[in-house]
Amino acid sequence: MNTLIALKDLENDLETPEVHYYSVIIEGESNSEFEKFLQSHNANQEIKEEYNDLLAWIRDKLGTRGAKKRYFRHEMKAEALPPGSKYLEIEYDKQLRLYVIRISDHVVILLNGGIKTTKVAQKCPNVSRHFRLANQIAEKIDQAFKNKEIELGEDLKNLMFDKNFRLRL
Amino acid sequence: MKKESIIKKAFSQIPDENRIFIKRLDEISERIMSILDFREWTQKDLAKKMGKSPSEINKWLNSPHNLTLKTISKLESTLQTPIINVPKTFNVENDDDNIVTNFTLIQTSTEVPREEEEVENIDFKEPRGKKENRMREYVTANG
Repeated sequence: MNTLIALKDLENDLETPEVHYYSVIIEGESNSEFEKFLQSHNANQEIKEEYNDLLAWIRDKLGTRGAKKRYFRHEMKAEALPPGSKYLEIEYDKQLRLYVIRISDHVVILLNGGIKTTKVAQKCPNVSRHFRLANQIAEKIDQAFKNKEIELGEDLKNLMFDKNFRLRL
Repeated sequence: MKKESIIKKAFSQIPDENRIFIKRLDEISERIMSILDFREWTQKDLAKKMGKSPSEINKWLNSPHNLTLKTISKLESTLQTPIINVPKTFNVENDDDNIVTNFTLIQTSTEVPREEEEVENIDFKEPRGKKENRMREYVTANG
């Protein structure tokens, strides 16, 4: 059975000068993937510093400088706009990972993540499912761009899509 | 009353020290980038001169990485230019000097580092007199 996923605009909750943030909601769930990430990690004292630095990085650094490729864990090959969306990781030394999809310098989709305990994300019990989901969503978003179901706004600073649009995994 | 969203709440609870940390990292990173531009060096050139891998330099400049004072000193030595400046005086009357919670990030500047700021002009080797005299100067200067 297909899983339906809706894009959620986070502008009302997380407005920044340079980056328009989005997340996704899996059909039947009430919280977005990014909200689930926050709920899972906000009370974990072991990663308190990493968690708070990560939030400050998202809002203050990326939000002010723009979501430049170099600020993410994986450098991807150059792409034309609209870009091929790729999953990326924002990392911190103590293995806290947040998976995101960077559409451009101004559009980022924040997903879920966790504390990575193995060298390879695919083998980690904490992050493998988030890693897989991020990859699947990135692929579907690419297709949606090609089908013109999602488009970048004129100023390339937001996504345009029908309110009933769903990604089908 | 409408409940505050999970996201708004999470971002409103970021402690100042974490925001200051990210701001300082940003300032240091932008400063290094400006010096590299001025010297016409790439990050690879810097890595080579410091005996580090390009990926490590990339990590220092582009991720929330906890740079040590040792690393900053090595960078200043390699770049022959100061990266951080500590205010020499504490002026209680100038509020702007004392507010660390101003989170506005500075704009990138590629202006040429001033000659007098060059590290090579700072004499680290020759003390300015005997230790006791230097201490006396300190006591006098600080009342």
